[in-house]
Amino acid sequence: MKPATLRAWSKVHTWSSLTCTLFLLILALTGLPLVFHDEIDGLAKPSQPQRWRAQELLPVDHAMATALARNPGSVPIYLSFDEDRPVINLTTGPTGDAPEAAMRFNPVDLRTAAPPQGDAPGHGVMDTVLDLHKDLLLGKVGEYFLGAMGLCFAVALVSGVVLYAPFARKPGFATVRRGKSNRLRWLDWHNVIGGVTLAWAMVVGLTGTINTLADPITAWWRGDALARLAHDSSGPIVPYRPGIAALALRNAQAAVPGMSVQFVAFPGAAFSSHDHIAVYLKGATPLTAKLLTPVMVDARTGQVDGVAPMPWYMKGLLLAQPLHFGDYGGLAMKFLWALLDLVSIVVLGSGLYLWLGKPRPARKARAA
Amino acid sequence: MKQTHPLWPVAIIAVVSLAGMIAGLAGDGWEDLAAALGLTASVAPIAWALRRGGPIRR
Repeated sequence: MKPATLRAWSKVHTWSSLTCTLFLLILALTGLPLVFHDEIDGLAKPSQPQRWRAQELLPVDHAMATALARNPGSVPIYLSFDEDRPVINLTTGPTGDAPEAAMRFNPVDLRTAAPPQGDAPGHGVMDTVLDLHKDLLLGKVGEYFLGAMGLCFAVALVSGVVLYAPFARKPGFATVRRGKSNRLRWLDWHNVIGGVTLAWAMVVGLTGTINTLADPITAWWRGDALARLAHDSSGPIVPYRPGIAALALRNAQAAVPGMSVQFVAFPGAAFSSHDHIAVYLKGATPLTAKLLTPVMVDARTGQVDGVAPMPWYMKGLLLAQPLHFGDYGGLAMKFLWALLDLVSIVVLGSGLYLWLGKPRPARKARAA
Repeated sequence: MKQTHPLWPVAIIAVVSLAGMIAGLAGDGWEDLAAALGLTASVAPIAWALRRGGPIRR
């Protein structure tokens, strides 16, 4: 590589890294507890696995009716099901297309039609850590900013590999030169760790950026594939009719056998249309359980109107979430993920140390 | 003797690690093991470098 090319890559690496280092340190520190969010949540709310019989549970529509009765004037917007207990979560609002701020979350125990016992209301510590990791507590602006930092990180990784190539030949693979200066030793550690964790860092960085683009990607899908599937009339929102939810669930599951319900979007909701109840089904295998299939059910008749798998970009978005947090491969994978998170902090810290300790002949000459 | 490219080990580790991460998405059995092994391929050279220490090989 020519010296001028090397200098150019060095500049790209220095400035792309410096731009994102501080924010990546925040993300690495907040991401560490998030890898173990299940275990930490379990410590905060220890609960015995619950057993129940299907016969003793109330019909979904009955449970929904009690939740709606507690919120006069409200309509259902979303419905989801807990996996470890017989509880439904009904999101209600003044209208089907109400903004998120006007929505209300109503968990209902299907054994009692009352809110489940022992649910602590409010924002937990892990929720705050997740918000900090997601958007630096700055909302959408923070989210998009962190997405841009993820891209900077990807540029830093690529330029780092390009720079590493000419220097890797002499010391050999994974060699840290002891007995040399501190600076040289840290340069070797920076290169070794950065090189061997390249794939992991690239996956975490790029999936993080994809996750920050969830809203525009979902909006694109709603205007594209979902609109085609729904054939929306753009008329008024079809009002909720008691009994229609159970019928929609039954017909949707009959249309795609072997899948279970992840959540339901009622007419007017962002994930539905004005005329449909959208039932989102997940598959039975670990991979297909991460992907969703929307079934559009006519909100007037309860008949299935259309089924289509998600397009590639929505599948990519759905798979980016587990790939970013590393919580899909058991405890061993979580420990390795956490270890990689810790060593990435070493790469960031050593990079900063190398830049701060860099001899600056030009500056010295000017000062002289 | 033809010298191998210095980035070969980095490329091999990246491919193994990536394959493990993707395999892990597909199931809960051998796939989880593949994911753990793939990530171990990224961590093991660091442990090796820490253990080996010593002066530069010439």
